[in-house]
Amino acid sequence: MAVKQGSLVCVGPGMVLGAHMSERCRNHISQADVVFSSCHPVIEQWISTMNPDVRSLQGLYGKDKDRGQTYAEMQAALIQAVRDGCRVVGVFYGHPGVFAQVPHAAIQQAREEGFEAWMEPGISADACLYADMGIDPGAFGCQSFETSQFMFYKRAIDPTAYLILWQLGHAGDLSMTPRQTGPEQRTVLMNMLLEYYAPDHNIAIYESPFLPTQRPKIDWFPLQELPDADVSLISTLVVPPGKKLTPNHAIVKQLKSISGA
Amino acid sequence: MTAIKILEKLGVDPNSDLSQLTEQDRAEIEALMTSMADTENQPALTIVKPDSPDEEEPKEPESVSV
Ligand SMILES: C[S@@+](CC[C@H](N)C(=O)[O-])C[C@H]1O[C@@H](n2cnc3c(N)ncnc32)[C@H](O)[C@@H]1O
Repeated sequence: MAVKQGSLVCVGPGMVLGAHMSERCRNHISQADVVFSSCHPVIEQWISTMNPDVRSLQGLYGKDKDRGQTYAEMQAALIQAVRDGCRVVGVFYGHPGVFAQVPHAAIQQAREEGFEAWMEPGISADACLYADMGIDPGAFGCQSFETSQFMFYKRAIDPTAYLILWQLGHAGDLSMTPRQTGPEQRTVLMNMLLEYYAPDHNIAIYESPFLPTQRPKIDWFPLQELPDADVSLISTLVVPPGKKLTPNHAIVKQLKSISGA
Repeated sequence: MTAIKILEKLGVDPNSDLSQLTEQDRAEIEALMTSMADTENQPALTIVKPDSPDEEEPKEPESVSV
């Protein structure tokens, strides 16, 4: 299929205004015919200084509206502009491909329709978390789940590795709206985690700032206090390893026999 | 300088910090934040349904050769 006029690139400005945006991302924004964005309102104001046609997608959320519908409308807005022959840039805060369905789906659809479409990486919430909390995901391994998916489906977790749960504010959400869930749903989550960790195991809620004038929020508390924790829609839950790594003697023996050690 | 430009400078330049701001700069930032106090941020960008068939069959990532 010949590549048609009109293109889509999804970029991420990172988390902190000014501090995280790559020069390439800024150039994409300033050179676009139209920019669609879903970021914190202050970040959107900043992005508006880079291009005269920046359209916020945040207005597509509605208090009682199914988020699935919101995401479909976001995708449709991006694709329509591409079909109109525009160089379209979608700006999604953090990394545009991390726990963000619209950029992936829109890029796939644009490609299927014969348009050029791709993604540029950005600095995500977990990239900030590793830096601010001094966590190396390679030290013990690190698992990331969307909290509700972790709750709705039977997942096995490895308590010898870090566990990061995203969208904690929507934990166990069956309404599908942008509303936050509460202590009852977090009690269910706590009970699931108690199958792997002790009640006094220390866990943390992490929130990266979005302005360079702010500090990260890192609140440590025992797992048994999760239901009453101070949670917002930008909270990410960090569960450090609760068990020691167990050596795999059989495999090490096998490897030794190969290397002759 | 507008509040956004001041914030951008603080974000971009590791040698600049709040203590170097003039009273006027601080007031600009304060005014911006006050004006935005009621503007809601909607950070969710992904949704999982309890019985979503999409989630049951993981997709093979596309192989790309550069
Ligand atoms: C839909 S995901 C989007 C993630 C984003 N694309 C990124 O690159 O980080 C939303 C979730 O990311 C995490 N998140 C978003 N903003 C955050 C922040 N400022 N600090 C910590 N975690 C954040 C939270 O777990 C939130 O529920």
